[in-house]
Amino acid sequence: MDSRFSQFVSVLLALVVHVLVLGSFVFAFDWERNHPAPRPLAVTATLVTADDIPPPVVQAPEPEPVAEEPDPEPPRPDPVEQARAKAEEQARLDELRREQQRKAEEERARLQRIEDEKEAKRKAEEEARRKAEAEAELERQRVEAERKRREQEERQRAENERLRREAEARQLQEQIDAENRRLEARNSEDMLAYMFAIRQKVERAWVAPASAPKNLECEITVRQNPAGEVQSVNVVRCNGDAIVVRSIEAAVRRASPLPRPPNPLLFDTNLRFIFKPEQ
Amino acid sequence: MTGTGDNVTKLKGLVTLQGWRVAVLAGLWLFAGTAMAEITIEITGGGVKRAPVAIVPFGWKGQGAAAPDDVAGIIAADLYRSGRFDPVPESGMLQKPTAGTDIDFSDWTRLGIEAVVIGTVEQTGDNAYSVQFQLFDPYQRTQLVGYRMPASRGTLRRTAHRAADMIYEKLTGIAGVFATQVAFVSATKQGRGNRYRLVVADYDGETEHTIMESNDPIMSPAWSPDSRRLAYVSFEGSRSSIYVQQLRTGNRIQLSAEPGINGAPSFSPDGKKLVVTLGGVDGNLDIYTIDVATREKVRLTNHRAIDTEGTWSPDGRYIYFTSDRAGGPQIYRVPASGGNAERVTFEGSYNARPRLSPDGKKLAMVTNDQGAFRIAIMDLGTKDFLVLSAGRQDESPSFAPNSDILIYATRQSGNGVLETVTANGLIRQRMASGDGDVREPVWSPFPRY
Repeated sequence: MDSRFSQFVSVLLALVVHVLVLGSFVFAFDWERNHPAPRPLAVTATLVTADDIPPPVVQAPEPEPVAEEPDPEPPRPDPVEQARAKAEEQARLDELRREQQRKAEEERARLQRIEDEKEAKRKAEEEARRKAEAEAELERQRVEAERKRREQEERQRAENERLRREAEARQLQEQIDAENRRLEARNSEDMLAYMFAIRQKVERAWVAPASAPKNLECEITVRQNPAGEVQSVNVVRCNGDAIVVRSIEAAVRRASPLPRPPNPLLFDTNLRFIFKPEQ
Repeated sequence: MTGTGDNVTKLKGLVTLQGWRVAVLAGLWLFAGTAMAEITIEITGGGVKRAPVAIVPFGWKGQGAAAPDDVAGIIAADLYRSGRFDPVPESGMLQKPTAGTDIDFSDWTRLGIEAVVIGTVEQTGDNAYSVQFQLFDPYQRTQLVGYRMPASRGTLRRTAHRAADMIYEKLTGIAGVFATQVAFVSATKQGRGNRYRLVVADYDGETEHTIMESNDPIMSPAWSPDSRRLAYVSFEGSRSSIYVQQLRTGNRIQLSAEPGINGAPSFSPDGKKLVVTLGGVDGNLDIYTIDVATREKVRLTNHRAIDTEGTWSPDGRYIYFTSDRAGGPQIYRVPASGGNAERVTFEGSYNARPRLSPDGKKLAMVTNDQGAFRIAIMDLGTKDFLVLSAGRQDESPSFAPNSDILIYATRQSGNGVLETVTANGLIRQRMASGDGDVREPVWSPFPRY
């Protein structure tokens, strides 16, 4: 009976110890499970929950009642039994200690695993952060490059526009200058020299026929090519007879090639002559 | 003045180049809208517009009331004589500044003056002067050219001409020839015969110097390239000889006195040789060169026709001459080192007395223009042919050193007189030149300062 009782007490105590240890495991587990949460607020909440639940579990194996129990035991009469029980108890405790040690090691290993996982996760997160940052930097650079490209494009477009306007203005100015040069040339002594040379050559080539009237006046137009070669002769009006007209046409053709101008700007394809003998 | 009516114009026309009417009226060469606003009777061309310029009387710093020569007046006369400028008379000037800072440009632009010349003559010694001139564009309000030149009483005119040359070149782009000289032969009646003189005068006809005179004819003067010597033919002793005479000293050497004709000398571009015409005893005229130093003669042509009037091309490679080997006289050329003659002129039946422009681009000659002997010019590049003079007996064309003007002799009332004409035929004018019958003008090279 006594041994049964003491057995029961031992079992109870073991149970209490187990519960205690388990409870601490639960507690520790909960704590561990909740702790990794990145936000301290959540940890606090979990801790509150853990405190609320474990106390009854922890209170139940409170040592006071257990401490009262052994008192009646010392007067137990059987020292052999006692020694044996003690040895058993010792073995059991050793076993328990080993068990606890093993569990603690397991726990340490588990914690280490968790710690490793945590570290790995941290590293992964760090890596992800770094990657994200790098990507963000790349993106920033891309946006900046894009902005610069757009600016450059805009600048280029403005520059092209400016150059185009300038080229247009220059071209216009060149046209104006060329026209001015032409006008200036046509007002120059060279123009007179050119007309003088043409007139003289045609004059020298003309043999006025006897039938030419005293008041002869013939107007002809002449086309010449750049070499001065006469391309066509067209009589606009003439008060002479066919012989006179023929003599004038012949004179212009004989005068071909007509003299070249002293200044190329003076050249003109179309010439107009008026034949009007001296009175 | 030779009126342009002298020119036998069969058609007086009007040449219009598209949109540009050019009427040619009787008595005018050409009449062309606004470009021909002015007709100046002295200028036989008449058509060229004269640019209005102002040559302000120069300031004078020295003894007496005025400088020995009117420098501004000489410059104005030179510019006027060119036919391209019309200097305003002193009475038309709103101001007469003598320093650049005193010029009010608007006073000149208001008058339409295109160029203003101011200057001063300062006496710096007993017979030493300093001539300073400045040319301004009153529209641009800038100085175009300005110089200070030393002078003596004897060189003051020359200095003024030199200033005119610089002004003319700045305004036209053509080198001025106002400081050049002309040599010619004049003949004046003396008793039953003539007195012949070889004369060198300034281009404006002033400052005549008689180089040589004789009762026998003098012919064919020719300048050496350095302007220091003249070659000529003299018939003194009733036989022809070729002489080369130093102008400064009057010393001369007889270079050729072969039997028969010794004629038509002309210097090589390096001045070391003469090309001449020698007839020999048989009277067959051919072209020779004579080395002035050694008198060594080289025969260049050997043809039974007449070969005469040789002249060197400016590059020294050819000798151009007149030959009637094809019937009428035409111009030929032969390499100066000898070789075959090649015909150069084909226009008309008579072309003689070749002279090349100093730039080598044009050939001047005497041509038969419908029965009249006139000065003509052929562009050696384009072969364009242009008759420049309007007389009936024009002779002896000679280019000015700028290749832009020619001088020649024409007849007026039976006497020879000198005329100049621009190579484009537009500006022709009479040159003041002594008394008597003036012949064979030859223009000097540019002077050396």
